[in-house]
Amino acid sequence: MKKVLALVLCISMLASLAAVSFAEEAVTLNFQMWSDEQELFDKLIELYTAKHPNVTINLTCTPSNDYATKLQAVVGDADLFGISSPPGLAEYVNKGAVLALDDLIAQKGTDVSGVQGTLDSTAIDGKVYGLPYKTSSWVVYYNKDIFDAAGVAYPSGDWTWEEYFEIAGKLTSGEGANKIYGSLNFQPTSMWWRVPGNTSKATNPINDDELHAWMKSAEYCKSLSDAGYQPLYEDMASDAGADYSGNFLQGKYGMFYTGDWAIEMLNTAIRNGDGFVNYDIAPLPHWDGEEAVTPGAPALLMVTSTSKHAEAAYDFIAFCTGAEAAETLLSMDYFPAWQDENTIATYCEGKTAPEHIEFIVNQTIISQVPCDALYNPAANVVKEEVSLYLLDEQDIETTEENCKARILDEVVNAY
Amino acid sequence: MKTKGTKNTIIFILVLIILVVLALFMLFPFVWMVLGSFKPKDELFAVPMNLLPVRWKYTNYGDVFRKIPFANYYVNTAKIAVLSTLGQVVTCSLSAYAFSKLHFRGRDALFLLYLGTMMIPYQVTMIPQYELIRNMGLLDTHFGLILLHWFSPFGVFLLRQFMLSIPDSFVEAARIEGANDLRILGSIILPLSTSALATLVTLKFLDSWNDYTAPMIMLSSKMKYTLQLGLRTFQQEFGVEYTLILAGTTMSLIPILIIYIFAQNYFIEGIAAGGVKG
Amino acid sequence: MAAKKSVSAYRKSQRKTAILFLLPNLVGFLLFVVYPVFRAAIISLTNWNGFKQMDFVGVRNYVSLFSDSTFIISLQNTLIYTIVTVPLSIAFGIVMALLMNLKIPGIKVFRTIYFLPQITSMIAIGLVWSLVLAKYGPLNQILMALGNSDPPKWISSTKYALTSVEIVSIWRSMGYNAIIILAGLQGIDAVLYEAAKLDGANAWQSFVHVTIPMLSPTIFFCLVTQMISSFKVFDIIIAMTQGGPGRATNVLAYFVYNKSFVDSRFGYASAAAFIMFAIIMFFTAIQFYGQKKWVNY
Repeated sequence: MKKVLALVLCISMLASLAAVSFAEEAVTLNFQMWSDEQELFDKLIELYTAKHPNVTINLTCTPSNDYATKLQAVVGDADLFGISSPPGLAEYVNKGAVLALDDLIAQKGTDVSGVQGTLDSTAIDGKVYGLPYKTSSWVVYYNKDIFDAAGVAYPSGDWTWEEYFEIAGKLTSGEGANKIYGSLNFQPTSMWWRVPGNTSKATNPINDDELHAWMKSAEYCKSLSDAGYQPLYEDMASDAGADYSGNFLQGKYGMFYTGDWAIEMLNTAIRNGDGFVNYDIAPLPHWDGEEAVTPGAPALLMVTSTSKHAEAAYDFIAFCTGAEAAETLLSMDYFPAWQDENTIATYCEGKTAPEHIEFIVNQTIISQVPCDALYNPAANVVKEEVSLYLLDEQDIETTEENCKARILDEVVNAY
Repeated sequence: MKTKGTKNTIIFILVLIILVVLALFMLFPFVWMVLGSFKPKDELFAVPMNLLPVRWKYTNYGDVFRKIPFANYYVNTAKIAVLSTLGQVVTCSLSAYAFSKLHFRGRDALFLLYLGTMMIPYQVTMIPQYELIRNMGLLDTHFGLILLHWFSPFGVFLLRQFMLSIPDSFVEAARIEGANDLRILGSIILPLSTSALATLVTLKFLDSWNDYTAPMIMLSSKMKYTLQLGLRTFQQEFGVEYTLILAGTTMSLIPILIIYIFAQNYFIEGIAAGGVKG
Repeated sequence: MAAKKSVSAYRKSQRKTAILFLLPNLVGFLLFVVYPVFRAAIISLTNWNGFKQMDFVGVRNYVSLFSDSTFIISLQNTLIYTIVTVPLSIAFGIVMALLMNLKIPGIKVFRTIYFLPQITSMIAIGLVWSLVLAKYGPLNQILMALGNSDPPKWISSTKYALTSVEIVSIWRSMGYNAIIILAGLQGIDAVLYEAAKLDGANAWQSFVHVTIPMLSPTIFFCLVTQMISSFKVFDIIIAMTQGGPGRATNVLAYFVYNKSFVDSRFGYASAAAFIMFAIIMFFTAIQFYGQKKWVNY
C-alpha cells in the first residue's frame, strides 16, 4: 500500500514538473467577474502576468446586478469565474460546471493554511471546489453626534440585541421632518432583517429550526419599527430604502448594521462632498445568553470543468488566494480571505476613520450563507413572505407556515 | 359671430390648460432626474422630497467621466444604434411591401409567424441566441449586436400596417405604366410612408440606444461596452451610486432628444412632402 | 380563359418578387429569431439546468406549472395588468396624439415633452415614481388635501402595488402609442374632413366617422403590440417592485426570469414562456379575425 502511495506521489510530482514546462506555452484564460471587482483584479492580473508572461487573462466584468444572469450563459466558455457567496458555488457545482481542486492543491503543494477555515466551510461532499480571495463581516455603524446629543455612551464592545433596542429608543427623538431615528432599516424586499438571526447561527431556511430563528429575527426588526425607533417598512419600499449609505449620511439615523464594505462607501461619499456624518463602528450585537459572533461570507474563485487550461487557471486562483495577493487586497482596503497576524495588523494600520477599525478583525466570523444550491431559491420564497409580514399584511405564524409549505413545494420537491 | 368667437376662445384656453397639465405630468420625472443629477448623495432621498438641490453638486458629471470611459461608450452606442436602425429600415420596408402589396400563398401564415415570435419573452431565447452568436464567431463584436436588430418583426409589422392604408390603385397604376416593384416601393410607397418611417427610426433608435440585456450578454471587452452597460456598473453589489446614474443618463439622452426633434418634422409634414395631398 | 391565365402568370411573377423582397429580412429572421424560439421550445420539454443536464421529460413541465401557485398568481397578475393597461394606454394615446396634432404655435415643445417618458431611463422612472407614490409623497398629499384621510399605501401594499405599476406603465406607454397614432393621423386625407363638413358633421361626428375608421389600422397595430408588450412586462416590475410585496406584482416574465436565472430551471421556465405564448396567440388571433369587423384598410 505504501509503495503504491509512493508511486502515486512520484507520478504526481513528475506530472507537476511536466505541468511547469507545459505552462510555459502561451495560454489565454477567459475570466468572468462582476463589475465591483474590476479594479482589484486588474491589479492582481497585472502582478501575476508580470511573473508569468506566457499567460494572458481576459477579464470580463459584468454589472453586479446581472452577473448571475450572464454567468448562466457564459460559464461553459469560461476558464475561471468568481462567485460572491457560497450558495452560488454550490449551484454551479451541482450543475457540474466546476472542477474539484483537491488534486491540484496536493499536486502543486499550494499553501492553503491561511484560508483553511473557509475551505472547510465551503467544501461539498468533502471536496474543495473554490478558493476564497476576500471575506466580509458585519458590524454596527453609529452616528456619534446623535449619541452625544442623547447623552448615550458609545457601544464599545460586547453587547446584545436587547441593548441595541434599548439604545435605539434612547436615541429616537423629534417629530415629522426633524425626527431622529435610533436605527436605520432597509427596504422590505432586502433580506437584511435576518442578520440578528444569523448571529444565532441560523443561516439556512430549509431547516425548520433555522427558519424559526429567522422569524424571531423578523419580529425583532419589525418591533424596532413598531416602537418608532426606525422608519416603518412601508416607508422604505423600493429603491429609496436600498440607498442606506445615502440615508445614513442624512444624519437622521443613530445606528445601523451592515457589512464592512460600507466603510469605503461612507468614506468615499464624505470625501466627495456627498454629505457628512461623524461615525464609528461597533461589533455586531448578539442575543442574550449567546456568544458574540458575526456572520460573514467569502467570495470565491473557481476553475470550470470545461476549461482546456485548468492548470493555468488554477495557478492564477491559487495566487489570488495566497499571502502575496492578500497584500494587494489590503492595500485596496479589502479584507483578504488569507488571514494571519500579519494581514490583520496591516488591515488596521494607519486607518483613522472609523476610529475603531479593529472591531472588524477582532470578531468571530461564522458563515452567513450555507454552501447549498437550494439556498437562493428558498431564500427568495422567504423574502416574499417576510416582506408581507414587515408590511403588516400577514402575521408571523402564517408567514412561517407559508414559508415551510412553499419551500417544500417550490424548492425541495421541485428539483 | 361674437358668441362663436368667445366659444372658440374658451375651447382654446381649455385645450391649452390640458396641454400644460399633461406636459407637467409627463415632464416631472424627467425634471426630477436632471435636478437629481446635481444633488449630493444625502439629498436624493431626503424626506420631505426636495425638487431643487440644496447644495448643487456639479462634480457628479465629472465623476461619470472619471469612473467609466463615457465618451468611448457614447461612440460605441451611437455606432450600434445608427447601423441597426439603418439596416432595419431597409430589410423591414422590403418585407412590409411584400406583406402588404404583393400576393403570394402563405402570406398570412408567414406574417403570423413574425407576430408569434414577438410573443416569446426574451428571457428564454437569450441563451439560445447567445450560443448562436458564439458559434458564428460574433461574440464580443458590435456587428453581432447590430445583426440582432436588423430582423425585428416589430418593424415589419409597423410598416405593413401603414402600407396597407395606401390605396392599391396607386400600385396598380404604376404597374400599368411599367414600373417594377422596387421602383414602386422607392418612388411611391416609401415617400408616402415618411411618417411611418420616421416613427420606426425614432422608436428603433431609442430601442437600440437603451438596449441593455443583449449587450450585457454578448460583450466582454470593457472598451466595447455601451452606455447602458457602463451606467449599470454604478449599481454595485452593496449599494447604488444613484446620483451618478442620473448624471450619466441625463447626458446619454441628449442624442435621442435631438433625433426626436428632428424626426418630428417628418411625422407631421411627411405626407405633404410626398405631394399627394388634395 | 386567356384572362385567367394571365392572372395566374401575374400571381406567379408576384410570388417571385415577394420572395426576393422577403429574403433579406427572412433569412436573418429565421436564423436569429425563429431558431432561438425553436430551441427554447425543445428546452421546454427537458429538465435543462443551464449546463450539462438535459433529459427529455415530455410535458411534465407544462403539467407541473398548473399546480405551481406562484405561476398561477403571476398569470392572474399579468392578465389583470394587460386588461387594465392596454385599453387605457391606447385611449390616452389617441387623445394625446390629437393634442400633438393641433396646429398651434409652440406645439413642437409639447410634442417633445410628451415624448420624454419614453426616453427617461427605467431606473430613474422607478426611483421617482416610488418617491411620488410614497406614503407622504406628493400624490398622497394631494389626495389628503382633497379630503381622503387614509390614502393608499401604493407600492408597499399588496392591494395597490399592481395598480401603482399600472399607473406608471400607462403614463409611460401612452406617449409611445401617441407617436404611432400621430403618424397615422397624418395619413388621413384632408378631403375626407372637408366632405364631412359639407355634410354638416360637427367636430365629434367627424372624429367618430372619419378619424377613427381611417385610424383603425394604426389602432389595430397599437392594440396588438401593446398587448404583446403588456404580457411580457418586466423592466417596470424590476425597477419598481421586484414582484412584491409578497407576490402581488409577480408577472409571467418575472416568473420566467426567476425560474431560469435564480433557480436554474430552464426547462420549466421555457414551458411557462410557451404557455404565455399560447395565451397571447389566442388573443392575437381573436383580434386578427375580429379586425375585419372594424379595421378599415
